[in-house]
Amino acid sequence: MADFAMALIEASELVREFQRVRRKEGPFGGLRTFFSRDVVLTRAVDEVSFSIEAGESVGYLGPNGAGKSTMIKMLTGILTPTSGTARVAGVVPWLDRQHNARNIGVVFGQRSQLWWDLPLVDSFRMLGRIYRIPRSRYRDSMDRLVDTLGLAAFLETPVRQLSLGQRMRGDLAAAMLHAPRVLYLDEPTVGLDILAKERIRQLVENLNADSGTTVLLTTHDMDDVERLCQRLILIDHGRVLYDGPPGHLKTQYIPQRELVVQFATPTDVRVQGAEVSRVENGRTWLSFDPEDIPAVTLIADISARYEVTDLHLVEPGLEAVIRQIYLERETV
Amino acid sequence: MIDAARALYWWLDARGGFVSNRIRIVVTYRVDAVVRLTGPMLQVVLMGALWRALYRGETTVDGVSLDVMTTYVSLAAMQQLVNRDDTIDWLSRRVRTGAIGTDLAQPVGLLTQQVCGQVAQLVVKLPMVVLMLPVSLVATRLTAPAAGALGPYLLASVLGWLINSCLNLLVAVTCFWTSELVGMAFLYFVISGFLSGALVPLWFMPGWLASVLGWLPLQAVIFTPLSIYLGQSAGAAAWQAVGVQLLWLAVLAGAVWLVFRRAVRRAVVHGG
Repeated sequence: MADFAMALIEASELVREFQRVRRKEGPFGGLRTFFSRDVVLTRAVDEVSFSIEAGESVGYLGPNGAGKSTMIKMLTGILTPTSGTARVAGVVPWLDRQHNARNIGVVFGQRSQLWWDLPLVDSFRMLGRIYRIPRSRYRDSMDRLVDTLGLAAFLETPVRQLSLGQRMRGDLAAAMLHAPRVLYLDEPTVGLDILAKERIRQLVENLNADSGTTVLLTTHDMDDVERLCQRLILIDHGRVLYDGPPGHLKTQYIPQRELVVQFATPTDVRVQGAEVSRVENGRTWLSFDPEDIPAVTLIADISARYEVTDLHLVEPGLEAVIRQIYLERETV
Repeated sequence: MIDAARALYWWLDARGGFVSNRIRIVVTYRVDAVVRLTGPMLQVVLMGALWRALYRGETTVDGVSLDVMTTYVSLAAMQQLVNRDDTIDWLSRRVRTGAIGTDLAQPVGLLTQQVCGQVAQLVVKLPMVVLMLPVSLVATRLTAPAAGALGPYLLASVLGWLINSCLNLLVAVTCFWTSELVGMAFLYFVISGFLSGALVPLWFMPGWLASVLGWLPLQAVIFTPLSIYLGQSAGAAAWQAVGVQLLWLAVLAGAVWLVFRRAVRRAVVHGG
């Protein structure tokens, strides 16, 4: 493949296995485990391939232990795959970590790259120096980040005294300071309150839209995904289950939509193409497949035959879809 | 030419960034810094008193005068203060907490980051040594260096610091293989304090021990510069000792480089 045709992030058949010594049970278990050569191999990432174009914003989703962080670590260059390969902006991350570091920014939600004992601004100053950011550009980026992330109030506060939300904003700024082409966010909103989450989402959204930064995001928060990602890669047991736009995933897994109707008097509804799925507090939930009966037809039908006081359509949330998928996986 | 100068500037500036943050950490914890300074000061006072008592009014023992001896313990305490850095603590904590992951994701290598930390410690320790001088003068009647010994002494001290830095790095890097390093680090400090001649000069040790230590790198850290300062090792002998230091430095620096490369690869390969 020619170089110019290559995507910004290219993972091909990446495999990562971990070895763990099998624990011995029974008497002297600990001692026997210590001398044991009996290892268990687990595949955290199992032949994963994908390619991400510059400017995309991709959600990398999966249940706990699905291998999300392992993938991010490999793309960051701090973990070598067992087999397969990847290129990020033309660099094989684990073969040239320091070069790769200049192209990427990374935020590990559970871990900070800020200097724990020092005022927040000291971390930025150091990053400015090690990423060789010229002074004027440093000032510009700093001003912009301080502004959009609202850092001014705690720039001089030692990182150890920051709240989780403040620290996370600081970490994001640290990852963005050198204007990387790729931003990896590993659970950036974990443990944050609604306002703090909103702030982080706003910044990532702007970044992706304004400077065309490519974003790869892992999260358990479906609101993050609905808001930020034009594309989803769903994985479990190290394998890709789905790769495509979020909307398509919804129609593929939960084609039904719901119409919630409030009737003037309690009514026993019978409509062609829809089923009553729930009746509660005088409201009736009708489940239907838009392939069989368009919503407009259904609504016209019902209003013609019954006296309706209120109605609204309910789209299935991504959360419901993902829950459904995880459940199906568990029962297989 | 200008490009080369600019590249050098950025190269130095990146490292300066690490050094200045590490200095800031030391300055942040002032109480800790004062405690670190108190230890060696007490050491000077107590060791001075101890040797005066051991000499029991004699002016020389085995050809070593009391003044030479008290100067020795005084300087040894200062050298130890300069040489005892926090590399082992720092690196093992980073590995234990997993912060090493973010270190490895930096555009500056892990070994370079540690060396920057050591330089930062040196920058903080040198003014501390100046603060120790008056205490040493009062407590031990610090004598001037032997004739013509100052230059070789300073050179030997720098080499001693470099050798010690390599040794600290080698102990520190073992934390990639063993997750528990605190006990080992303590053992290393106790043993190195003794084997480097920081407590008792090699010339007062039993012959067999002195000759064994002569073959170890630790004596090159403190004993070599001090014996040059005091004129116990002068002329050709002094230069020979410096030569031995250079040899050790080459061997140890090579070992540090190799072992760090393996450690980083191990971390990256095994996901430590």
